[in-house]
Amino acid sequence: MHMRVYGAAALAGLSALVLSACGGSTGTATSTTAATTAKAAATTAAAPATTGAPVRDAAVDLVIWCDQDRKPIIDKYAAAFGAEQGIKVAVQVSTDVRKDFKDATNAGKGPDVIVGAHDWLGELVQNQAVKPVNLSPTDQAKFPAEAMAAAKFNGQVYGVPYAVENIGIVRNTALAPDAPKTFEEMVTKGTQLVKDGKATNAVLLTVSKTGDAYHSYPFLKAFGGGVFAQKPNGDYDPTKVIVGSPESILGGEQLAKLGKDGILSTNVDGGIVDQVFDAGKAPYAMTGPWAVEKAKKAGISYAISPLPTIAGKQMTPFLGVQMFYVSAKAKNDAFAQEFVTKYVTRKDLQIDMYNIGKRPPALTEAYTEVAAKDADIKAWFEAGKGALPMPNIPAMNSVWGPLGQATADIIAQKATAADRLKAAQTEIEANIVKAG
Amino acid sequence: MTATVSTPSTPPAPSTPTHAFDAPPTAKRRDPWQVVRYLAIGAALIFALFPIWFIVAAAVNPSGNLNTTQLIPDAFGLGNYTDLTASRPFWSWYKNTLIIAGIGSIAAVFIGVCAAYAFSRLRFQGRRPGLMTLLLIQMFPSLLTFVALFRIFTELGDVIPQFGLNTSLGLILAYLGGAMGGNVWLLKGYFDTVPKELDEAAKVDGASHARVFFTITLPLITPILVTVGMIQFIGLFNEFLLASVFLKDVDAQTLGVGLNALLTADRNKYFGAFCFGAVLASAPIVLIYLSFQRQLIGGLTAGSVK
Amino acid sequence: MTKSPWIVVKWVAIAAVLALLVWIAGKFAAAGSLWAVVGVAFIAMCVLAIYGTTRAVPLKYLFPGLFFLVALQIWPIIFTIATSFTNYGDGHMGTKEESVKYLIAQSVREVEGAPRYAMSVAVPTGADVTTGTITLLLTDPKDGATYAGTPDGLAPITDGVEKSPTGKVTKANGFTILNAREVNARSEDLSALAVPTEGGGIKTSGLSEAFVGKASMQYDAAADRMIDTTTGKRYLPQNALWVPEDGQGQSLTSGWQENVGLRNYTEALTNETLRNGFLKILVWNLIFPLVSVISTFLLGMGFALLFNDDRIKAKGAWRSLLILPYALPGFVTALVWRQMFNQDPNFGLINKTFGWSIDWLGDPTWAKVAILITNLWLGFPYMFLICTGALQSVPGDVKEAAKIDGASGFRTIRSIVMPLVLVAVGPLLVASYAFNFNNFALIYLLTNGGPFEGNQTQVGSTDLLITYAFRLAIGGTTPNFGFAAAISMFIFIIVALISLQGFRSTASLEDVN
Repeated sequence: MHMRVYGAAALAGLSALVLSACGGSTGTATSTTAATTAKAAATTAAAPATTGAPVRDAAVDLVIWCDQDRKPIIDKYAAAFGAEQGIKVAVQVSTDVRKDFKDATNAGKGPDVIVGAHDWLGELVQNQAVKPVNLSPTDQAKFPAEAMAAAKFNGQVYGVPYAVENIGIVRNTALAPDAPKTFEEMVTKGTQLVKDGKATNAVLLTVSKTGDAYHSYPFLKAFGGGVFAQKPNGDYDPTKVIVGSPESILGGEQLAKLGKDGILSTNVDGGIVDQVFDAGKAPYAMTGPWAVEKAKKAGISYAISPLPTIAGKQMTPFLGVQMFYVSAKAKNDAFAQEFVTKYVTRKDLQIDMYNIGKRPPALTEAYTEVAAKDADIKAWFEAGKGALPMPNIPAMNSVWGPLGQATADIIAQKATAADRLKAAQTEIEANIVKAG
Repeated sequence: MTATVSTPSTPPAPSTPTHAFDAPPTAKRRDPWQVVRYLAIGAALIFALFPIWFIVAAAVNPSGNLNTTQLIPDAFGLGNYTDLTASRPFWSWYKNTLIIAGIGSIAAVFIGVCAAYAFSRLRFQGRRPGLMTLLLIQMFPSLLTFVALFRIFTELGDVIPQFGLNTSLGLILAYLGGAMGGNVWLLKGYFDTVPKELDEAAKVDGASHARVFFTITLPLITPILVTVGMIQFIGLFNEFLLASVFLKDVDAQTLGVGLNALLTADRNKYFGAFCFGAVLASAPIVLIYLSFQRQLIGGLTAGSVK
Repeated sequence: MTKSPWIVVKWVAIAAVLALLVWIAGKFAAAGSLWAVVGVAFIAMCVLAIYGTTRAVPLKYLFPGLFFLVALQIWPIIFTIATSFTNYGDGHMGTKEESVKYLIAQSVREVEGAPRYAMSVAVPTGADVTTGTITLLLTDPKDGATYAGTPDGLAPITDGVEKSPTGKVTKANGFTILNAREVNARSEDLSALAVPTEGGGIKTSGLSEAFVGKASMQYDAAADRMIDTTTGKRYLPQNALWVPEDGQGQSLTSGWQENVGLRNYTEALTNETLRNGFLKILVWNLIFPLVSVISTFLLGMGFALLFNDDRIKAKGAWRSLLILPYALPGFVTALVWRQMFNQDPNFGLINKTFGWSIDWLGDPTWAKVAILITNLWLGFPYMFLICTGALQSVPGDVKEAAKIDGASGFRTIRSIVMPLVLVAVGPLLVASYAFNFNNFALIYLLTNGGPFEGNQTQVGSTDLLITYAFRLAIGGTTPNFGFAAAISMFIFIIVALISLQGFRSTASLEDVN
């Protein structure tokens, strides 16, 4: 609304300015602008590039945004849903669903349903972009409790999960035939392989110069540390940051030791982890399902196992959940709710989604069926057992940078674990307080 | 305020055509500098191209990893190409991009050259402040540009769907906002180096300013038109921020949008396919510049020969 | 003079544009936006006045560019400036009313143990399906009893009731049952509806289910307080957020957008973190674009001269290859450079080749060098392109003399060729300085501002003002675009002042011919 007024005013003002600014002169003008524009219009009209419907096509009854990989599957079920209800469903590809959805919804032009990760939730609620999904208690029971917990914010369910993901240990079975029980075992075995010239890195973990809080978290968690303390109901409490807690520091000291021994290095980033592992030059990589397909193509024989213990304590990763959300400003709320609660909970949809992303399906029934056939999926799921969901509260946005950098600095021996994690805690707290 | 200054002057000196460009090397004698020149060219090309080699290597490596310490990939295959075209409508993107960047850059050059002509050849009130303002506008940190443009085009699309979001036409229009920008400066600078006498003489003959502009001035500046056109084309060819806001249907997307999404999809799972796409995508830019080489050295010489 | 055919062409073109504008105005009129109609009419008048008469020749050339410039560049700038006076950002995007409505709606929870009804949506027979009073036809899953639910409450119905196998009412006397599409069309009414019942309200979920829900949040309009009925906690509006009245605990999740006057500006001037990092960052921010512009220009110009020599065979082909670094998207070539700079010689080409062990991206000084080298590689093709173009205006005989043949050649280049080329590209060097001054993408892709020294992540060794300010304003828990916009204004003023100075020195080159 405002835009029109401003835009018109600005245009009028400009034209007035322009008119007064110029005097006369002689000569004739040929208005070639029009010709060019018309030509341009003709060319584009002829090209199939303009087949795209406007964002809000009146003829479409339900609009879903997802990434490109998942579109073919969602297309299939959207078509089935459309046929069942006698409506037209459009599945559109957004390259950055999280950002685009926020902007578009704010302008009242968003889709009805989006497909995305659970850690966007807090931010989306904060921006009044998503609404609760009324999944019945019976349906909720069809998912593992951790997956459902990830879909909740303030105790309210905001989405229906379709897959879970977490990191584990991927090992090169040619170099390391047995699943490691302890991190120390990995270090010993790996160091020996490096000494024998069979490997360049003992253990691969994404660190990079600016750090990677997601991949370093299991070290803190092993000793009871982490990011936020939990409220009695299981929610993360943004007022209780535990990055600098004694437990987290114990984990940080392990990072420091591994950095000192040259096992971990800030020179190793995500790309290097893939490169070295796929070249068969490292026995172990602490990574996730995304790395498997490339290793397969590179001809590496691999196996997946849960994170080991470190100093006798069990490491657990963050659990990530992928799910369907319903927009708070959905124009087609009834269809959106119906699709998300009735279709996403279907076994066949969840299995098809597994075929695309190769992550364990969230629906227990679908998981059981897939796990019986695919050992990798079973292994990933086992590796995620007991994992807590990645915090989905907005305060988490203040954690990634400082915590990541802290772990990088510790590994690079730039500071002691205690000093560095306490400094990170102060920084994170200040940032959260500022937000109110 | 004033019309073009019409100083009657000698007709365009049919200056002896300078054959510097098409004439064969001055003499057949051995030139000791020639070796140095080719060595320098070799060094320049190595500097420009060696980092790109690693992208090519990643593109043909089945596991598709970047490895900048290995010149020859340890395995070779076209699997990444298959991945790319099987999972993505790559060639549709290619076509869309050529159309959008092609039309967009031609329109932008036209708008820019018109404005530059006015700024260089015509004298009017507010000319210098106008030029200055143009430069300053380019410096504004465009933090909220996308939000603002998004709002403009959603409102516009509500009323006139043909110009709205999710249309190539809307995207091209949005790109034209930058048509005046830096182009005008480069074009104007070049106009300033072209002797005024060349076009003003024609005016004495009674030709209208529009005729002078189209038939005499424009041909004189083809080198810079090609240059500005290339800069525009490359810019639009790789643009993805605005395009990703506009284009939501997979088949209507551009290379910039599609490839960027490929790079960020599922960590770096598709890195190899992405590299293959990026290398293929750079081909038209090189080919187009190559095909405009004649026009690049046209301009003044061509103009004065006529 | 063969003017007449062109006159016809001209007027046909003007008529076409006017017709297009009339069509657009018609569309706006139909949509009821009067202002837009006035705007379009004004543009039409301009077109007619500029192109229909023989006056205003400069405008004939400037109008198309001006039009797009104002609509698509100046307007976003105005928008940014306007935003800098608000708190627009995450959690502050809607109005206060919207936040109240949203907070209440999202607090609705299913009452434990209450039935989930099978549901059909209906209107009284005879009423219009798009406007009639909505009635929920509900079937209790336990006993199969059927009810009609309206805002007035539940009433049992039995008259002519038929049910589907799932229990959904498919027919009932006195009601017209809506089909799926009709139900969906009334989504908004359905969201607002709660059929009062014991312990809460019956709300719909999708097309065929209803549940008993209860909102835990309430709004006390008289006192302007949000109240959490489960805990009794009261929240008062403060700084566009609902803040606990007792000062304990967190604010509610979403606030609203409001004007904050000059607060973002005063905040930017008094922010301690911002002030602490400012000087150190400014110095690097002044040096980085300067070195980048000079290095890319010298290299680009050198290559342009080298490849402009007629004694080079197939120079067109070589030239075309030389622009490849510019043709590939920066987001991938920056990745390649980042890896080449890896400290570990197993991964990093540069250290491997030269046998160094420089921590390129981890050492504050070397990281700056790495950035300058990368930017040189990324930026020289642009300079090469424009210099190659500009060189073509140099008369042939001068060029002949300027061929790189030794001392005399270099002198010709310096005293004759360079001044000519600088006329065309001088202002672009200023523009390039300004661009690099705010080169967010390069820093973001290569170092993300790092390395960070001294146990903190606020001020990085390679931070530019723009990366630093944006991390501060939009990197945290609640990205604040209003604050970021205010900082942008300061950055703009700095870069504009520098550029105007640089511009003055290049302006003297104008009209050299």
